[in-house]
Amino acid sequence: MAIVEVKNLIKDYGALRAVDGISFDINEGEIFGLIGPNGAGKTTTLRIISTILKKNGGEVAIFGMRLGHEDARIREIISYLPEEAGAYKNLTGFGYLDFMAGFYAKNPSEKKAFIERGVEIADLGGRLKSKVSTYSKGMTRKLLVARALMIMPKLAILDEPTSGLDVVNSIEIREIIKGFAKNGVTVLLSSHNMLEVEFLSDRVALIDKGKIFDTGTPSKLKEKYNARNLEEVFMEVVK
Amino acid sequence: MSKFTNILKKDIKELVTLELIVPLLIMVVLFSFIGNLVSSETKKAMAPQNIVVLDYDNSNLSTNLMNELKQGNLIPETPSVKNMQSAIDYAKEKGIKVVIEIPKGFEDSIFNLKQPEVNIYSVMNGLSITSLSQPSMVRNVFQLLNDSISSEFIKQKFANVSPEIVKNPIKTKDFVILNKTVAEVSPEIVSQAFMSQNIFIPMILVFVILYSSQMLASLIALEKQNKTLETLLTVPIQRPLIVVSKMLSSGIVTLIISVLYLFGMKNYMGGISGGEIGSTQYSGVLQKLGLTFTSQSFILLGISTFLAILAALAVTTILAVYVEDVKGAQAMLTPLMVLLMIPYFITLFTDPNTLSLPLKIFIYAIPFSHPFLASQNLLFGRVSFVIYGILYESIFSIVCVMIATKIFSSDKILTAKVKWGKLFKSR
Ligand SMILES: Nc1ncnc2c1ncn2[C@@H]1O[C@H](COP(=O)(O)OP(=O)(O)OP(=O)(O)O)[C@@H](O)[C@H]1O
Ligand SMILES: [Mg+2]
Repeated sequence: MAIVEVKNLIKDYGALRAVDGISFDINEGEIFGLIGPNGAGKTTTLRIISTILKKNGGEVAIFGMRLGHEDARIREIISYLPEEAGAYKNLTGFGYLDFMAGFYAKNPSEKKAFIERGVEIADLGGRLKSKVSTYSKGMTRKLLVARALMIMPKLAILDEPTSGLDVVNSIEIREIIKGFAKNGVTVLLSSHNMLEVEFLSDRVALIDKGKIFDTGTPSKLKEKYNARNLEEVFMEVVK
Repeated sequence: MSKFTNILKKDIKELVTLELIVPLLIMVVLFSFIGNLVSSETKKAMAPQNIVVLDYDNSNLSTNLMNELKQGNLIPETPSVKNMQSAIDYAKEKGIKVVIEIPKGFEDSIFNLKQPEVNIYSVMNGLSITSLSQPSMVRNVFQLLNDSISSEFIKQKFANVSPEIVKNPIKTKDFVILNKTVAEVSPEIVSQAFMSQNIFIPMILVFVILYSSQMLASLIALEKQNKTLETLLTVPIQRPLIVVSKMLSSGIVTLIISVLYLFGMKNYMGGISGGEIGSTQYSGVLQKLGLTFTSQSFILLGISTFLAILAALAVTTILAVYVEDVKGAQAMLTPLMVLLMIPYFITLFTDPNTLSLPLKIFIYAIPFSHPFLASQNLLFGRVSFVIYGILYESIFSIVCVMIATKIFSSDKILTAKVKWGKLFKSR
């Protein structure tokens, strides 16, 4: 069943059309990857679906709720990890998880469970007690991924989830994302790292210059374009 | 509501940083310290002080003078020295600040109306309070002495007339008319009394508005600078509450800080003025003239002040949307500061109602002017001015708050950008 439906989505920044009539569906429990080069319109698309940018045209429905009409309700069930994000410098890592859990938990025991899950994902050990301002880029990213996933959102929107992480941490985070999908979290992610997306995603959409060129499972796409990996598929498609 | 307290707590935590607390504590400690220092200096100056008297006359009158000095809180010492130089040396050695030289024939000269000269030497080794107060205390004693001697002379000439009348054949009497009340007092005293009681209100107001706007702008700019805003906007909390939390937390923290500042100021002023601010000696005069706030005026003044703060915070929110970082936030607040200082200084130095019409309109158009104008307008019975002012402030604030929450509910907060850096560099 499609729980995210995007139809003819358009976004203009002044004269620039950043998203140019794209359409795609995401099924429940699926990991859906948007891949494309820099400036393709990935972040713009994710921001619109996350309710923080207003679309200029088209329709988006999330679990049947119409974007632009029921944004407050949509925010209850989604979790967004921005491409470039930080945490409050004055809080500790733990304090940050506690603060964010406060918006989603319905009662103290649920909040406790959220935070415990967050602590586990962040995997920062004793450093969770130090101020975020003392974290490295990768540590901050892990904290933010943990924050995005700990609340078990129905839809997790992750913009370049592993950006700034080293190989070991990237692989770890990918495994965590996969695990969450198995537990019923639907994931929409973007990346220009096509190998990452190939590994993670059940289905991908190839986006460039605000348009989607093709959508499908990685294996189907590779077959269709007779390519060894998604990078080659992409080069074929945008040719 | 718990979501709101969650974000409010975070906002306050973000404002209360070491950078905020340390200078504040230093200020409070420093002010208290200075206050204590000044007050102990003043006490020292008030305590009976030794002075050296070199009496070449040894007459009844010069002995009388010694007694007068004692009455004037001075302890005259008469060392057995031959000349002025050794008297000064003696004073220096004992740390005494004043030496008086009474010439030979002092008494005779007075009774022959020859006006003898008494030299008062001050040993100055700094500008401490005592080095200025002692000579003036001595002079005061001579003033009294002059007065009583001249009265004696007058009594001898005009047996049945009071010397007061001879000295001042004309007497003036001051009255002040205010609204419908008349009081026997000079306008200077009224103005002084008014100032002493009302100088703090505008000062605190300027402080509160500037400080809270500064905090609010930083708080919003920090969300952008630390890249936390995007995440915050996807969180399930009503967007207006995000704005309200930021305004409220800036307000609360400013309130706490102002109380601390006032505490420091009180210690400081208390030390300087000898323990009394807004001294009660004047309040009788003001009460007589109806120049005190009734509870109704207090309420109106409070509303006007609250609305001015609200308006400033709302304007700050709108401006902060166009700011990228904390540095930009400082620059952005400059126009607000100017709009605040204009009514502050104008009400400090003049009655804005006496200004030319265009200037008057300009002052009244600035929403932050109204609390400054309110205290004068209320005391001088122009209540309707204040009520219209409050009406204007309300409309202004409501519109600004609406615009501010609207901006936060739209995506302008993310997409609107003014490059302040560029704006300033290009000049
Ligand atoms: N706030 C903005 N104002 C104006 N133009 C913008 C804004 N944000 C993005 N754009 C433009 O929209 C287009 C799409 O940008 P977007 O950030 O969505 O790309 P992306 O696919 O996420 O790229 P990347 O892989 O580099 O993150 C780009 O041409 C970009 O310049
Ligand atoms: Mg991007």
